[in-house]
Amino acid sequence: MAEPVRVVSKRFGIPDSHTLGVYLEHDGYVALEKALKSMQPADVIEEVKKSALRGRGGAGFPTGMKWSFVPKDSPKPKYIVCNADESEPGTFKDRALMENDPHSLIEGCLIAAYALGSHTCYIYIRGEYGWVQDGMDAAIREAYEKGYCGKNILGTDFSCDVYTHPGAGAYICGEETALLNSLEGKRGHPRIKPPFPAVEGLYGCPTVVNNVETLATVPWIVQHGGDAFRQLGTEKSGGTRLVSVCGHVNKPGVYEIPLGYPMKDLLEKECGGIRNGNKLKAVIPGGSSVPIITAEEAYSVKLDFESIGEVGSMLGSGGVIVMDETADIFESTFRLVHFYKHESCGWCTPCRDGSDWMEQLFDRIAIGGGRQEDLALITSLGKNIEGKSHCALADALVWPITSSMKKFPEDYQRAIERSRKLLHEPAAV
Amino acid sequence: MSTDTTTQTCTITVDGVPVVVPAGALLIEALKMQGIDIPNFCYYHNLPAQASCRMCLVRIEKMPRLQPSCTTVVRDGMAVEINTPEILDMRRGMLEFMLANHPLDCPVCDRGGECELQDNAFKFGRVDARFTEEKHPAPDVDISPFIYNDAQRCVFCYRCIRVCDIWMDVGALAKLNRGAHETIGTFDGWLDCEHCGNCVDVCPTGTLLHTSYKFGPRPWTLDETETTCSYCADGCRVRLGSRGDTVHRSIARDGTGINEEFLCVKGRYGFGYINSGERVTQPLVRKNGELHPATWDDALEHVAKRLGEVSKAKGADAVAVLGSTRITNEGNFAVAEVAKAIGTPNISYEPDYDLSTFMKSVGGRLATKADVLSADVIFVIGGDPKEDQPLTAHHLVQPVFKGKAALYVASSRLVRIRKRASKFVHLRPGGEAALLLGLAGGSLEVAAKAAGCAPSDIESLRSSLEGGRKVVVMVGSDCRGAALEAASSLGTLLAQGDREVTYRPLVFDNNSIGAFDVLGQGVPYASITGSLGDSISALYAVGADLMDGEDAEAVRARLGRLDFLVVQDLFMTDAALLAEVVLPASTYAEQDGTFTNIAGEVQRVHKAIDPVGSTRPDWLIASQIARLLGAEVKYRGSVSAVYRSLTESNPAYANATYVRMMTEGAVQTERPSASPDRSALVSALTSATAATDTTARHNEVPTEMGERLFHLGTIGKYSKLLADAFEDGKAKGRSVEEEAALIPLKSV
Repeated sequence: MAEPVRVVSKRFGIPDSHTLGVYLEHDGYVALEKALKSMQPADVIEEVKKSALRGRGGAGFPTGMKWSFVPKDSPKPKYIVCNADESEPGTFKDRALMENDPHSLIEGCLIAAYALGSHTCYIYIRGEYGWVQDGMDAAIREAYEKGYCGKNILGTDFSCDVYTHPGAGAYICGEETALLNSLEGKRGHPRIKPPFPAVEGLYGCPTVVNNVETLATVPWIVQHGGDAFRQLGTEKSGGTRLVSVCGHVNKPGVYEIPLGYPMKDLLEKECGGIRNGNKLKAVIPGGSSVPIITAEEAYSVKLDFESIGEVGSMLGSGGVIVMDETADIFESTFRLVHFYKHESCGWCTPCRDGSDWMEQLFDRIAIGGGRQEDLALITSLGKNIEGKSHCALADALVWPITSSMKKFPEDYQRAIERSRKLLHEPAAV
Repeated sequence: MSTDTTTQTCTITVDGVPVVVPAGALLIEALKMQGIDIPNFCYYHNLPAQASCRMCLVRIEKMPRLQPSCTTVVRDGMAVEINTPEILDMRRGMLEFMLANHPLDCPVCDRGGECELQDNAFKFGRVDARFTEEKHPAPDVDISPFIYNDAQRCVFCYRCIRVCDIWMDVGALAKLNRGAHETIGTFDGWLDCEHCGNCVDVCPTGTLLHTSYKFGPRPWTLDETETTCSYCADGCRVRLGSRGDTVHRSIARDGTGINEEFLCVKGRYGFGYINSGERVTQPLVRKNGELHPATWDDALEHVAKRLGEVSKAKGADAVAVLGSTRITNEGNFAVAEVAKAIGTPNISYEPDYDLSTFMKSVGGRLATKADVLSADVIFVIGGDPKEDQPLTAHHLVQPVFKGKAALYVASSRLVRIRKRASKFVHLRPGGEAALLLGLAGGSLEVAAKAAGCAPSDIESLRSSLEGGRKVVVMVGSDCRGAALEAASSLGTLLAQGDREVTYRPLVFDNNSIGAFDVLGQGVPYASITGSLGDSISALYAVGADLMDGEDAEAVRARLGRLDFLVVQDLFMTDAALLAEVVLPASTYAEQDGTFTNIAGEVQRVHKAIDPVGSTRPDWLIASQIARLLGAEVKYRGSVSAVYRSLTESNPAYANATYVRMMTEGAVQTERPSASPDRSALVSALTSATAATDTTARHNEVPTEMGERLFHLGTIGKYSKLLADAFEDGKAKGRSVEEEAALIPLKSV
């Protein structure tokens, strides 16, 4: 098998890959020039559609289709917003991308802006990524100086400005409509959909919100063609994508894999196997929000949207969390429940009150006082939350719980028994 | 909600039953029209959708998730399930979440009995409680002199925040903290707002409550009477909640009147004067220099006797009678009967607005609520409805917020409402006539120089006004003389076009227009007060603030020279202290009658409690005096008979019968519109413009919130709650205890 093609990570590891000079030496802004000088905006959208590129932020929505929802004849200004609020636990691919290859994101933004008739791009970066924003700002400055941003880009009559904007530390602002509210200076609450951002987004104008990796993939697609990209992956999930692997593997990190790549190979070849020669216990394959899968499932599954769906999980944001036999799934789920409770924006009832109650139940089981019937209560509360909330965050709370209870019931049972003992035999102080 | 969608319908099925609903309606509203209530908290019929409480979720065919019925628009053929086990389970679950952290203290909650959370929990909730964890306690704290916040009871529907933002345009309330630690509050813990209390009335739970009603009687023990507010000319409908002889609250929660749920700080919290301990509760007659209690018979006979004596000795002209812009139409009508019985032409009242000039030249109908809400251009000149007519201000910003109307404001004051205006023209003091001359097509340079604005301002204002199809002109009291005449017939001054112009005089007192209609302006008020003690020797003053002006001392001296002074009022006013007879009147809460509001609409006043002490309604006292003076009075003891006599003598009121008011609420009086002479108006404006002091400097001090809204006036002064909160039109600072009790921002 030939060395897999690297699309978005091809400049990773090159010294000073974040500078414009090095970027230009490695196909930098070639795609932008091609798009501006030899393609019509509609051709760009067509090429992206052909590539079968699906959003890399989590939901996996086909990017070309999202772009085609933007009304062409709207008199309002249109906006490109890059969602760089990478806050999903276990996910850190966008950070690597922005650190190593900021210009590919800028180029992707500009091509998207050209395709959609926009003249303003915002890159909304999570507040904790202060240095990443500094790096992006430096790259944007360089791009402005050399005429890749701003007025009359590359001597054409296309003008576009690119700005970065820091978040203030709320997970919910990774949800695209909450992000838009936050960008407008409002509290980060998800909006009512419809209208979708493509029709009424930032400041009520048509807006495309795309993940960092999605946009950074666009230059390659424009340069090499949509078909070339799709052939890298499967028929429905085109191309390659970044995955960030963390947890109990020997070599955690960010890897680019073609879609449809076996998870087993990822764990054993790229990541060098499970630490200390331990046995694999569980994998969360797409960031903390997606259902957990067992070792058996992990070894048989392929990393593409369809086959991972068959084992009841999702590719999500590409954050692979690996847990070996030493992990306690009750404890790891408790940690996630705590996260989702802390990050619940408070807008809707099931998430606000449900996550709080859920966390209190897990907490009681963990510190002592857990009851057998608590497990049934957790299941019942999960049912009352799932599918009833305003945005997907509440589902993201429920899925890890229900999947882990289903797949690792013995860990929960052990937690209950431990909890009973704790109540009757308080730890010596 | 809106009437323009009712022409087209579509058919949906609800649990398998076909239902015809208006096309384009929200599902929750469409079902409500069919009498099907979907439980909800965050939905509110005139606030933007929120979809946060998730209580109104329904199953819609082919949709993967349950859908909120408050954001779903009906489609033909849509199949909706609202009563399936799935939905009932969902409601049970949602209520369980809402009640998880709720203190469940219904027995001591003032909302108990009229609480939407309680009602829904009763209908749809679980019988048992599965939540056994610890609750997050939050203390109840005062966040203003009028409102306290029991944060733990909140279900986060955010109605209060939206009301503050959208109805009031104030934005004083916000969400604090995040997730389960979220509370409703303000950033420094104290409300800096108009204190309207509308946030309290829309609250579906006992979170925001009135301090005035804290641990008050349970709502179901109150007698509720719908009547008309006694403060400003807007004439909001209020529900007085009383028990025995005491009024406990004033709310508009059922939303039936012209104001729907809206009330301002005075309408809501200014009812304290009704049961004030300082009311005059029995007739007083002066004997040996001192006022002594007397029986009604003695007092009234004394009044009739002395009025008769003066009239006989010095002529009927020596007797003057004063009515009031505060009392009912029936009261003023009976007061006029007293003047007739004596035969004196000297009858008047203290006007708060030059209505005789306005009515003489008004070029169209008086603008009603419907006119304001459906206008495409609203022009406010020389007034400040935000401070003086809160309901008018509330109504006029609604179409502006929705983008359906453009607001234009011209004023010599930096009024708050200018921020919502498409254009604000800042005039120099007295510059109204010049601006109107410019609008009428006079020389722009001359007009702009005298008005103190740029010629382009006038030009663009003119083209904006002329572009309107439904124009509402609100004429403030800064317009006087020629400016008032011109503003009240602006339609004739603008270029001819296909447009309907309606007018609203920004009068102040609750029955200004009624007093003008009933008493007229035969003898100017100033000429009566100027002749007291000279050509006038006896005065019968009803509800008149004789000594509220700067000339109080001069008036005192004149009153001292009278042969006979009888004062009929609620309180011992300064004039009452000088009177020979003081007649105790009942407040509006203790009598039936009518008020005529700012739109010329007559509305009923209903008796909520029995008269306090041995007070009597003004109409009864006056008609008894008239009878004792020998007049033939037909209406013994019946206020409806007084009103019938009024409608017979005043054609404007002919159609505004009690029966119509009972079914329609507010009934507009029918008055002929004047057809003023355009050239005469222009020449009057030209000379007024020439006389404008062009050296007068612009008033650059912005109007502060409450500058006049928080001014108390006579009845407000005796309402303890208002008097404790406001001083000289400003909110008093908070006390040390209140400062200490503010909710700190949590560090989560």
